[in-house]
Amino acid sequence: MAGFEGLLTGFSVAMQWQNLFWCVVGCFLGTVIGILPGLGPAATIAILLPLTTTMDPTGGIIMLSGIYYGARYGGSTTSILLNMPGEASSVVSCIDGYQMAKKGRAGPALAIAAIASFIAGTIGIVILTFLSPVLAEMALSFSSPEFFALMVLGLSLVVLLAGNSMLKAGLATLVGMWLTSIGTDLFSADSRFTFGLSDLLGGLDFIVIAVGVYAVAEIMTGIERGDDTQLLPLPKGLRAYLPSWEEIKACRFAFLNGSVVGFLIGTLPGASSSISSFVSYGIEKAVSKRPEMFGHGAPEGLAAPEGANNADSSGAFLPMLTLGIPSGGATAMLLAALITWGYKPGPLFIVDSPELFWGLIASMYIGNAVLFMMNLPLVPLFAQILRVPIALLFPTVLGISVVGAYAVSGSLFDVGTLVGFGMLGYLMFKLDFPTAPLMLGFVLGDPLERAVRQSLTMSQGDPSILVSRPICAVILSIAALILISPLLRRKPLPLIPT
Amino acid sequence: MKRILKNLVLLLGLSALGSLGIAHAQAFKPSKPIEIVVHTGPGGGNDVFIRAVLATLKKDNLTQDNFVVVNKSGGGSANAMNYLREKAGDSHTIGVYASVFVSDLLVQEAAPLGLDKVTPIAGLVSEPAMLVVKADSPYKTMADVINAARANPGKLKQSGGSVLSRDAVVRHVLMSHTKTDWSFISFPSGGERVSALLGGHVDFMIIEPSEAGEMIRAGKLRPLVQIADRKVEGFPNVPLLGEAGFPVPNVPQSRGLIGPPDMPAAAVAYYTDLFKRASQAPAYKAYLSSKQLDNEYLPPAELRKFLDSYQTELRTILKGAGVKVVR
Amino acid sequence: MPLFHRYNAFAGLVLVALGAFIVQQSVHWEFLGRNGPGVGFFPLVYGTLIVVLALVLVGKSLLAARRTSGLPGTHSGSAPGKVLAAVSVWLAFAATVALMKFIGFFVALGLLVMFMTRFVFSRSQRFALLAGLLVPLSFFVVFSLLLKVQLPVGIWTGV
Repeated sequence: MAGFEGLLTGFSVAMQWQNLFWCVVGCFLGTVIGILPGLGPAATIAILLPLTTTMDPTGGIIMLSGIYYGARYGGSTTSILLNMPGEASSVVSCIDGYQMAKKGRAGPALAIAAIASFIAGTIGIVILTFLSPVLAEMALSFSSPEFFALMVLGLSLVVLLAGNSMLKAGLATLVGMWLTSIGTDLFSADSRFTFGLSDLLGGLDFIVIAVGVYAVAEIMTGIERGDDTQLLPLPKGLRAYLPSWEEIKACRFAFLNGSVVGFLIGTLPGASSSISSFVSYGIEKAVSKRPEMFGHGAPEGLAAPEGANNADSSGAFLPMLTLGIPSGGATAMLLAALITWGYKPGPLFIVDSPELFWGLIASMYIGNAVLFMMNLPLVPLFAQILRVPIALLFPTVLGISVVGAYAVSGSLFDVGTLVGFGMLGYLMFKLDFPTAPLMLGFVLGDPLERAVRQSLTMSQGDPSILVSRPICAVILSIAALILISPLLRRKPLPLIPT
Repeated sequence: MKRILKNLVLLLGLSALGSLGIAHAQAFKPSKPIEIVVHTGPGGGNDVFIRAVLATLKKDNLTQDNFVVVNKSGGGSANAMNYLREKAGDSHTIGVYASVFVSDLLVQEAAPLGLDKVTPIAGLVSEPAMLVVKADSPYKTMADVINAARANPGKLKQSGGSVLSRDAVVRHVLMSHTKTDWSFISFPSGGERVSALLGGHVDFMIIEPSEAGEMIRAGKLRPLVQIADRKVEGFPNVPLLGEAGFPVPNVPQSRGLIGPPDMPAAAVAYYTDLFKRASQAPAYKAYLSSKQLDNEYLPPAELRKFLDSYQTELRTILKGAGVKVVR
Repeated sequence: MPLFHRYNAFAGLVLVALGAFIVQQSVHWEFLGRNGPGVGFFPLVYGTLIVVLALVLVGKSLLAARRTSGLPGTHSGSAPGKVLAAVSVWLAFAATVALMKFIGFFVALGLLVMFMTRFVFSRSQRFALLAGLLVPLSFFVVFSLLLKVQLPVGIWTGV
């Protein structure tokens, strides 16, 4: 059963009252969780799993999946309003989303995030519906050398995130990459840069660093700026909560970009969700006619990563449903849930349990629509957060940052790291060091190193494996193009402080 | 007469004390929620395992106690061990160990807690594994693999976890037994390891039957041998390593429960008794067999012996593999 | 202007030191293993590049400082008082986090709220006190009760 036929079966399952109900519940929970750092979809699914064992499995898996992809919707809310990423994949949304809010366009930013998420999520599910078998095979041909090429592509985006000074951007990237080598080496079990601290054996955590450099530092700079009563200008009138037609038009390519890039990278086990948002952002900036706007509130700079992180979650369902391979903690929990109910996720899942397989996919279409309808009207409500007096808002944000940092592994050490990186973020702001390259370096450093070492072991030390395979060559060429894209433009890329 | 009286009083006194002691040892009952520390995040191996086990305890009506799973991930087992160290003497904290706890201690200089300090509570399961190849692979038996490895030293590729994982250890055991050599490529997640094999980028891998079962059933993977003490249900035709001609010692992937240092004996007795009863209860047993886990309950003393001997064995193996062993 | 460049030069020096440290640590490790880069390869590369680029930064900054030495200097026009306020908030934050081990999350948060509302945002004592009670309370309701998220528990307070 494939494609349309499957989908029709699926909809007949997903549209049953109880399944619709669970879909809405899941999406709602997911949105709430996405907004709040400190609770991720994996943890929530783990907590709810025992309660769902008494449920009908179809409703159960629909709800749990709703939590997973729903969280991608909520993550942008705090990124836009408070410069605080709710989830690792929402970090890139801070870059332009928060700038839009600072200009009084918080409402439109939230709306664009919701729209991009809806479009990209839907396109992702469409790809999942019709192209799963083909893409599953393609995803398997993607291994360490191709991953290396993808990481190089990611790094080439530094050129586009550099802002004022390529030198400082380069330094920030390198420091970010170095930070990933702190911890235990996978290949040799040697400890690097741990200074004898057992807390560092696992390395630093991305969300802790991101919340520190973005949210905590923003509070410090806000105080320095003398932000007095309200954090950000509040949109006036309902019209001001909606994006203008120009803004939506500007995002046309971003919607597509986010969908495709997000989905493709999402299908790769081992690719963290932030990679797709960075790559999508970079590609958007590379092809944009007004790249100088990026980092200053370009709506497409928000739409691309927001779309990407939603399509990414759709992509993660591909290996999960076609092969039974998890892409991360949340999909691992979903698989565990399926197994608890007696199902056998794997290559034969679609054959054995077509109603569940297609019912789940159909519910994702519904879920995306539900999330869109839930999130869009909530935009004015969320924007009211900006009404809270700064005197209360700032300490509250600090409190939430602590909750998020502590939740990573239940250790106060992470909270201490948060504090430290808060100061680092502030210093970087004062000295005009761009922060996005630091994040980019951190996201890509470890996967890059792993990919190189895995590839060279595969080829017994022959480095040509990194460039010779066809997919690698293609990706590396794109990376090369991106690297020289500033030179290819007719007008030189104006350098504006970020 | 006075002497007899004195002895009698002494005897009575001692037996009173003794019975008080026994009564005290039988008196432990949890008075608050019990924390179960897991070294992975939600969705990780031990996390999924213990949550399912706790669910079976409820189903089998074995306990009314309130268990709370606490995730202390990071540094392999370091964060979880650190937490146990902080909870020394506590009766309401237990930890789920996996074999990685033992291997971590051998290589982490900064390890927070020694194996000798933790209180063994119960061994629970041991997880078998299988060596699998892609379905269209030219290797039909383990001997084929070894012969190919012998003919092409260093050319064959195995995907696996970290250099301390069970797959890596089995590799060393096999390589030194057969005097062959092949490469090992580490991937941090199971998904990547399997993808590498399915995509034809590596030649074989060692994988748990619960992970591979479906792919084998779908005809995408072919199991060559089982790495276990006894055959896994559902794979009667796949030989054990010994049967296939490679009588090497089994490398167990075991899971069980440990307690913080200086845990009161009464508490240990309580928990170990609970899980001993669980190991004989229907829902628990059904879960274990559905995940193809060997039900191997070990009381505290046996667990201590197992952990110590496993550590010694592992030390030798890892040293031979060139890993930097620090204790 | 020159002050900005001097600060940049100083930052460059710090980065040179960092890079040198990384290099110094990495040379103890295996650079090239049997099949490619060893443990020390990437850190060594990072460290070396950091040292090189940071030296360039120091050089450029010092040159720029010399070039603009005659010009009046303020960078972004931020008054030193405001910078002090920002740093003091960070210090208060760091202090409350350090204390969390002993007094727990909620008490620490309360203290932070009180400090910030009273001394940074110049609210009345009553406001600060009220906020210091209500904000941790709301956190308790949302995170501990509703979401059951684990929060740092203080040794002294048990909360």
